[in-house]
Amino acid sequence: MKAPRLFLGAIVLFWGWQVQTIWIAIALALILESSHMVKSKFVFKPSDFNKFFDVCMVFFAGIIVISLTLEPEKAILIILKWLPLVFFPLITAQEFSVNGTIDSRAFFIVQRKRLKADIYDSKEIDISFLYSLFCILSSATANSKGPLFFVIVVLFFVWGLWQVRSRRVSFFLWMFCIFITILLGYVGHNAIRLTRIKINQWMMEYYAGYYADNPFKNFTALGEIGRLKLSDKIILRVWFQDYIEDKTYRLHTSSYTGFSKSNWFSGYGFKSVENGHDKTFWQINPLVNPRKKMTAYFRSSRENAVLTLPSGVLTISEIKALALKKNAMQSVRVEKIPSLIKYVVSYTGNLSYDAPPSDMDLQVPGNELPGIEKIIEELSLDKISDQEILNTIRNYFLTEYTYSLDLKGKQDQATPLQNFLNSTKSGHCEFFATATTLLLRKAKIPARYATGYMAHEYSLLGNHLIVRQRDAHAWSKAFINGQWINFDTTPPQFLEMDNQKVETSIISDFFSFLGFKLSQLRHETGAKLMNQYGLWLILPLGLTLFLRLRRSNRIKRIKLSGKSIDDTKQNPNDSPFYLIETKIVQQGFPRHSYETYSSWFARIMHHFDNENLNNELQILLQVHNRYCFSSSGLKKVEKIKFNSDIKNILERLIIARI
Amino acid sequence: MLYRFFYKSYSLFYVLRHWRKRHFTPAGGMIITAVILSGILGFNILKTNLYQVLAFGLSIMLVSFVYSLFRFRLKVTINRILPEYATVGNKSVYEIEIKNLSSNTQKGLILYEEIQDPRPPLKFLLSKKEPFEHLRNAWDRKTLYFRWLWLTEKNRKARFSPIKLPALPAGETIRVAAKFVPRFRGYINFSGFTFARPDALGIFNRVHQVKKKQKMLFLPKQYKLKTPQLVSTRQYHPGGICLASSIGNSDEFMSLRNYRPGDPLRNVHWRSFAKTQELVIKEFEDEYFVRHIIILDTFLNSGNEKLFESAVSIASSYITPLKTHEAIFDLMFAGNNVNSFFWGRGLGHSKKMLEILACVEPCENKKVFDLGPTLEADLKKISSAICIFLGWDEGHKKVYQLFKKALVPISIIVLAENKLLMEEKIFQDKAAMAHIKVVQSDQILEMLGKG
Amino acid sequence: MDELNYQWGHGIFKRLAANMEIVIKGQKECIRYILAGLASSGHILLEDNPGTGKTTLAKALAKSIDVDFKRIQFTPDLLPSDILGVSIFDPSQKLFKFHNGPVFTNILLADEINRASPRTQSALLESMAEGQVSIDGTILNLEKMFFVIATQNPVESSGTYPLPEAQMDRFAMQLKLGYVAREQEVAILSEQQEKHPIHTLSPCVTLKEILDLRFMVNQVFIAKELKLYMVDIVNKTREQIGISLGASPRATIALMKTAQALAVFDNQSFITSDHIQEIAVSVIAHRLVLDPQSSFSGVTPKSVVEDILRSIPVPV
Repeated sequence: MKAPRLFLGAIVLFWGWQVQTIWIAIALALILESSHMVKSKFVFKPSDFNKFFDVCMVFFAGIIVISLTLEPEKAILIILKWLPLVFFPLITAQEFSVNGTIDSRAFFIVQRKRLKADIYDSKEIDISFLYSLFCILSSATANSKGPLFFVIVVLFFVWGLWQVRSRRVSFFLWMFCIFITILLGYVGHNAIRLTRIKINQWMMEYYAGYYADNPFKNFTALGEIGRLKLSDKIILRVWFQDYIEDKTYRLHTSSYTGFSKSNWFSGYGFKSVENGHDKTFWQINPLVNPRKKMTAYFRSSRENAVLTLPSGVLTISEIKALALKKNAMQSVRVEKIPSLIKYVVSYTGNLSYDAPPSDMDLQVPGNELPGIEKIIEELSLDKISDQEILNTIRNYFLTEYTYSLDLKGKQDQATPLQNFLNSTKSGHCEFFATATTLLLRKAKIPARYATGYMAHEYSLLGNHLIVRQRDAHAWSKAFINGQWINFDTTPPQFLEMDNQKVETSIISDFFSFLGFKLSQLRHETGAKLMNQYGLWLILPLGLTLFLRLRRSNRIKRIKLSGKSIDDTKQNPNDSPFYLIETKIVQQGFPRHSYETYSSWFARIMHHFDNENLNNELQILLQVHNRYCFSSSGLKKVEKIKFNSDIKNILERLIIARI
Repeated sequence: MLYRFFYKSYSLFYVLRHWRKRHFTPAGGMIITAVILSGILGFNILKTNLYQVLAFGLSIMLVSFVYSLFRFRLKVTINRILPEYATVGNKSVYEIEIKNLSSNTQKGLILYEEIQDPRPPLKFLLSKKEPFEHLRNAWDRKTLYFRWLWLTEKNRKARFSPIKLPALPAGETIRVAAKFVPRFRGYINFSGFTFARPDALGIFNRVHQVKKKQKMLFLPKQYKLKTPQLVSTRQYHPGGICLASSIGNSDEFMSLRNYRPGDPLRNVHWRSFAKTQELVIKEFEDEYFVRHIIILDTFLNSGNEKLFESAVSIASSYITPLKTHEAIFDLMFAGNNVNSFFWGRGLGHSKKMLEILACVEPCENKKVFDLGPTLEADLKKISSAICIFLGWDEGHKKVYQLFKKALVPISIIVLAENKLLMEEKIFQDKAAMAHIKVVQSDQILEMLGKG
Repeated sequence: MDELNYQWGHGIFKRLAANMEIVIKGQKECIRYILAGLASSGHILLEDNPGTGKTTLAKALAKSIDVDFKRIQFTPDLLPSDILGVSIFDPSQKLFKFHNGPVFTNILLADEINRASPRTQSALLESMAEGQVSIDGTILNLEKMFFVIATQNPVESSGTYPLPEAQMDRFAMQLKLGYVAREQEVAILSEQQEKHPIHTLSPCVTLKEILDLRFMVNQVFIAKELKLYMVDIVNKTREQIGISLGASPRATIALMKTAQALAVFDNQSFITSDHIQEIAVSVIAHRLVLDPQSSFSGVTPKSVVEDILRSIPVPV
């Protein structure tokens, strides 16, 4: 089964177009298709093919190594993407070989050398269709949107199926079957896609709770018992353009509006943001002045993440993400990011872009009301102005409460929060933030619950601020005087407690820094290098191997004779009878070169439906034979009659196929 | 127990593979590969477009499958026109004649040859060892997979590729040529044919089986070998018939004697009658047939069947070019009894010998070469001997001594896996080296071939 | 030569063939070729199973021409003198008189030639080639029209000495009669129910007419490209793989002559490539010696010649 002409070239070009390596693809396609035009081809032995196969295996191993170091999560896709290039040497060898096929023993030589297995028949395999399949699978990894991919793949399949169609069926029946297939395929692939999306969504919702940066639901530790465990792991490294020493920077991840059963919820959906002229630039909000700049490096284990940003984000740039979405709470979600992601943020620092308050922002869940109302009454929050409410609440928490990582649960109170408010008066930031938000709401100030990180630790190693997992923080946002502000009531002791822990983690920090630098190198510079230069290193490898093979005289060149095997001899005579032959051949009844006219007519006779035609031909054949082979030939009169008879019969010579 | 499990699974794989080969075209195999690969690799829908390839591939398979459900009606008579023999290692061509008995033209059919089930029984799998099996790694030896492959190939004897038939017009007969290369000697039993009709897209086949039993014999592999120059003790005698067929008149005439009633008149020597007026009869020499013997050792105790096959091939390679005008030849080997066949001088044809060699099997019950006693009896009749031995033990030594003592010119070929080891074993006696050649089974042509 | 003569030659053929077909049913092709052998002065080797009508065929031919016919049954103990003749002393005249052997005849049927010893075979074949016999110093010429039909059983039977290659070359053609079709065999039964038709067969052609026919055959014109074609075919047999001995120039000559005879039978004064292709196998196949290895691979001389014909473009 051989791929038709231009099929390989076309499919390689398709591959190049899809995965955006069009120049390489053009080169490959030209090489492959030029095999049809060269005058001489090579005779390859199975051991020669084996060498080509080895080269492909080397490429293959190389691709595996490269993909695993660069982007391990996407290794399979990268390998798939370059598959056509990996196997290019082998298909080229096949196209330029005399037979046009590869002896199957070539794949076995290495293993079976010792056994000299001759029970394995040498089967001639044509890998052109297999190679085309690789190209299609590879093109699919480009994940181009829109119907064009499907249409083109269908066209290639149809082109290929045309070669193998059963001669039995008429053209129309075959087209009908193809049409049904295309229809089914179209319906099928859409169905698959929709099902998968549905499953995806369902899975996401099911597992949503376990995502730490879930913008839809935040699990707090309010209901837990024990001690809050916080990890030292560095998750963020930030540079501030206007960095002031020892200043603590507040970074926001998500905000929530609904509280129920110890968890905060947000119902705000995400809308896509279009990227700018540069694929790494995203305009979140309209530009205003003055604005500040922050650069951050964030290590993500998943390919989608919610960014940790300062307040009032305007633009995000220099970020390698495929898509970016934001919600009304100014949470930014990015998709398809590498494991180490860099982003540059231009921001204002105030919360002017947060969505205006809604009814949700004033709701207090029923089971918490007693505790909240008690405090409101205690502090007489319903009688004073908004600004005074803020001051009072802040003072209240600062003086009467302590920061602690102990989790007491709800003990004998109705809820853990009430336990916090009434009994323990001690807890971590989530308690403070939750309590503050609910109090504000009951006091008729719209409030939201916000989560994020506090960047306060300066690292000498990188000259930047490092943010650890335990720097995660929660606070309140209050809507006062027509704008949102951050309202943090957690006692500042938490920062001091963090600072104590720093010494023990110097070594791990050092390694973490090393790892960071390496990743930075790989992702930024390494990728660039590979993309531009890596490929050009591999191609000369193949070329030198090929030249070496040729020089060692192991590959013979065979000049293809220009003539085909069934070559008809040039007739020395000029008998007009040859025109009859031409006409019959044109109608689809070829004559073998070894057949005489009589035996040829005998063979195709049953297609002639005209008896008279038969007889006339026989008579003319006799005259022709006399003209060619007898000593006397034809007399002038006879020759003239012969010519006219031939002319006559040529007009009537239509042979219908039965 | 474990082996029975292996056996059952290999059996099952064979059946499945056979079914797959008949019911899927190569294009079908490609589509299935596409579906499997895109299914596995494209599992995460959102990352690639592979699900589109998967969907299209599945729909092709579905449409083909539905189409192939249409009934396949075929009425034909079919016959193989087989040559008399084929030789292992040489391409053989034969024709298949098909007559379409139905009333419509059949197009686009594919023809498969079917042979008798080549799967070996369990006891063979356990007992017969594949040649060079000790070179395989431990895993392969334990699972016996390659032994299974070898035994199946041995039974199958040759591989036949499917034939794309041209259009079969109604009521007409067509002939197609088929070719194959036999791999093992012996009888091959054809059981029938399978006609496969691909569906419209060319993916699935609908099959129709026709039974046609035929048998054919594959002769052992032939090499171009140098016939050993066996100097016979009859060198200086007038050769009788031998001389006559090349020169013409011979010195057959021996003597004259008196006429006895009953002697044929045409033997009367008329010149003497002219002189003496008495009838005198010419007496002619008794023709002496030169008798050469080829001894084939069938006592295979190393279990290496490749050695035995090489021995059979060497024997048949020597037999083929023998000029049977001059002498009688004898082939001797041991089976259940000692078998001796002779041919030459109008007593049979070397083709029959090759047929016998094609079917010869190693001797199961005895292990030691003991043709000595049988040879002793016929020693006087033998003019020269070629011996093909599979080893060198007491029995072989005895035969060698026997021939040496009787001054019979002899050429011995000993087949061995390891040339050097065997040579050490044999060559304590320097004189023996002239007559004995040790050959490794992969070096037959180098050591014995025509230079 | 003008057309009229060739019509005469065509007529002779038709008469002979029709006459023979009275006796031999269903062997039209074989009769045609045998007559071609006769007309081209070549000898025929019939290889066939016993009882297929070889002797009857030879007898019918002999009777149709009204010439002398002798038959030799070859046996293993046959001596050359039994074929050529022997000098016998005649006491009354005190002279050795030579008694002619069966070879001194017009049409000789040498039955089962492969059963005789090689010495005896050579005796016959040498005389066929030379056209004369030399015994005891004297040279005796054979008849002007001397035509041998030799038969042999297929070589597998035991007790046979297959003809050596050099001797096979002396026969212009090797033909096979074979068993006839069902209907024909029934017709044979009906015909021979009471008596054999050969007994009532009468001659339809004279010896002189045959000699004239032979002369006419030699005059048939052969175009240059057809000569090249014949030479190409025979040359190819020498190069073909699997053939250890190809056909000799004798084969080319035999091919040419029999083609000429066929042309006369077809009422033509020139040969065409159809004639060549028609008898190529019969003329060439038996002269080829296969490699022992090829012969055991199912290759037959017939298939080799057919392959060669298919591989050379034919002049049209």
